[in-house]
Amino acid sequence: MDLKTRRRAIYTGMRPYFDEPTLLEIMTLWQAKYSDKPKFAFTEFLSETCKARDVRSQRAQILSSIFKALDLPEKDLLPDPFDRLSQFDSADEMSDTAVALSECDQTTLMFMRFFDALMTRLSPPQQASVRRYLLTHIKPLTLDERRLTYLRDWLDQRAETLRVQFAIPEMRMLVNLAYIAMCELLGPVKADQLLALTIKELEAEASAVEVKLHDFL
Amino acid sequence: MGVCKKIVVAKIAFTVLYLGLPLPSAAANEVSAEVLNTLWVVVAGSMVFLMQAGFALLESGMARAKNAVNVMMKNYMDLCVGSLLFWLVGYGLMFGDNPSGWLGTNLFGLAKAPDWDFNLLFFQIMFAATAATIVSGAMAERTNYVAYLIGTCGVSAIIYPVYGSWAWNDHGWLKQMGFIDFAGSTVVHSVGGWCALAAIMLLGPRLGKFGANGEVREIPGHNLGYVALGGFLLWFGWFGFNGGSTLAAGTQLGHILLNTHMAGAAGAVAALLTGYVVRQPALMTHSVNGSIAGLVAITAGCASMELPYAVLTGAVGGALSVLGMRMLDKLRLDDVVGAVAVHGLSGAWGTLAAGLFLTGNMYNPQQISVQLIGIGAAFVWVMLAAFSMYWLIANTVGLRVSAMHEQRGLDITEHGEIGYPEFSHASAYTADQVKSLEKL
Repeated sequence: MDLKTRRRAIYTGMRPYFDEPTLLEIMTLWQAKYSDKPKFAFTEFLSETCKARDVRSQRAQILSSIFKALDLPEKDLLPDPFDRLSQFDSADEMSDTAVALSECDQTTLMFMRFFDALMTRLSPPQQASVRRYLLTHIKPLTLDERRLTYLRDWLDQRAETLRVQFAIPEMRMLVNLAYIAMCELLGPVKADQLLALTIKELEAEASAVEVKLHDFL
Repeated sequence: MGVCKKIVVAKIAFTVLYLGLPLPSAAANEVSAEVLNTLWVVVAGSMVFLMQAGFALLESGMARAKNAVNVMMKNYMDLCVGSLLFWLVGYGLMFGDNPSGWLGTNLFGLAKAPDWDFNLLFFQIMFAATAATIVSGAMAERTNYVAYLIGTCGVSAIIYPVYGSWAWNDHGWLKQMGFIDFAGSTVVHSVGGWCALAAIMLLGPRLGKFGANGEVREIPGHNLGYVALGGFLLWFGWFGFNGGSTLAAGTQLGHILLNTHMAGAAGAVAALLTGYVVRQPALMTHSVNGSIAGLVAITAGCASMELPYAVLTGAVGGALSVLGMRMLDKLRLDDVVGAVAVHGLSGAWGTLAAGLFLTGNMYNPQQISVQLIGIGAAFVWVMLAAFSMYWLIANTVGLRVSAMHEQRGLDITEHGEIGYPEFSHASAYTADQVKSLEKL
């Protein structure tokens, strides 16, 4: 089951128990923290959700409702709440440390350029593999839930940009994860070549905006 | 004085004058056997020293350019660290008085001794350094430098000397049984090879060496010229390694060196042929490794085997090097230079061959049994000791570097320099960027 269908199913299963704003909040948590985890992590997800919202007594019912929804045909599921999750994020954004894209620093913008350039050197299935690897291995990055969500959206190509500013060590770790994925997929020799070619390609562009590409390496 | 003796004396005199060494205080025309032996042993020891350069070139050539300095540094420093540790601890454990048959108990940090003992110490230090350096190539490209050097201390000070005391100490239990390992197919090479096996089992493969579907990816070395030069240097050094193990400048040297040379040649040819049989191209790395495997194999029996058997021993060693590397790949064990196959497997085979083809006593079941016990004892002892040691290192200092280190290359992350600063156009990291990179 793909991520979108799973999200729709969970949203459908939980809808009878929460009002819309609360549910969007819960879905944001799921998206950021549990969307890459296997089914059995639902228990942990529900435990965290119910504990915070004092609906512990309904936990078993909610879980059962989610599992039922997961078995429903796609046509019976509620629409994907993803866009509304984004709206929810945007509305809340002003009170957060996150910075809008227009305020993103040049380094983050250049990082996105770098990553995109690296990905375009791969075939579409290879790109998908690398992105999938990153999505399942970004846990060591100590990001707050919102930034993690943005990062997931960007890696999953649901969002065109990162929307927020990332620190250099975080971006460096992402490049390293991509390098690991490319090593596993294509072998280390090819991975080294791709990294080198991408650096060469963007060197002048990065230098023009005074960003050191090697900070990402 | 007979004609032959005159020629020998003339040669010695020439060598002494040529090397600029002082003549013994005894009458110049009376060259004592001790002086002659000393001269041969120190020259042979120096030739063995040159093998370190051979290993450095061979291993570095088989590694990627971004790890070339690291491999060289490991070879350089394991010689230094290993020499000191072997002098302080290892030599005593190996050659000290050994009433139990298991361990030497004196001669630690030898400072005052008869001249001959220092000859032996010098020669044996070179052997110990060889055993230690075998490990470095197998572990290349993903090992923490400090952790590697700590491992070298363990190999030089304990693992190698303990086994050596069993096999080479006059009172060692294996020696007492009649174990034959003239110059160390097992004592030096298999010990190094099995240490390498334990290390790579714990280390795991380099990033991307094995694909998710079980495919084995080639990670070509950066300089095949180095590999060939390393092979030549090792081959040359082997004449000192095997010839010097006589510890005497006797007339049998020619036979020993010829056996050594022919086994090396047969090893390379057999590796090439085996490569064809298993449908592999004529790889230089296989040929060089094949010759070294042949040399490793003949090391045990070079003084006790007739020439045709030496050729056979070398040939089987060469074939084993190719097949052994394939086997390791199938087991998903990443040995960058093939040290386990070349030194471990071929060393074990050579030690068995020394029993099988023992001149005047061929195929003697009792001798073969003793050889097998020696081979098995080496495997069990080294695997247990080395595995424990590297496990301990892995869980304290950390044996493996991070993926970030592997990405940058160990030249940068472990040493802060680049092996080829002017030729890094194909690399993501250039010399002028190294200093500005954030320290990991």
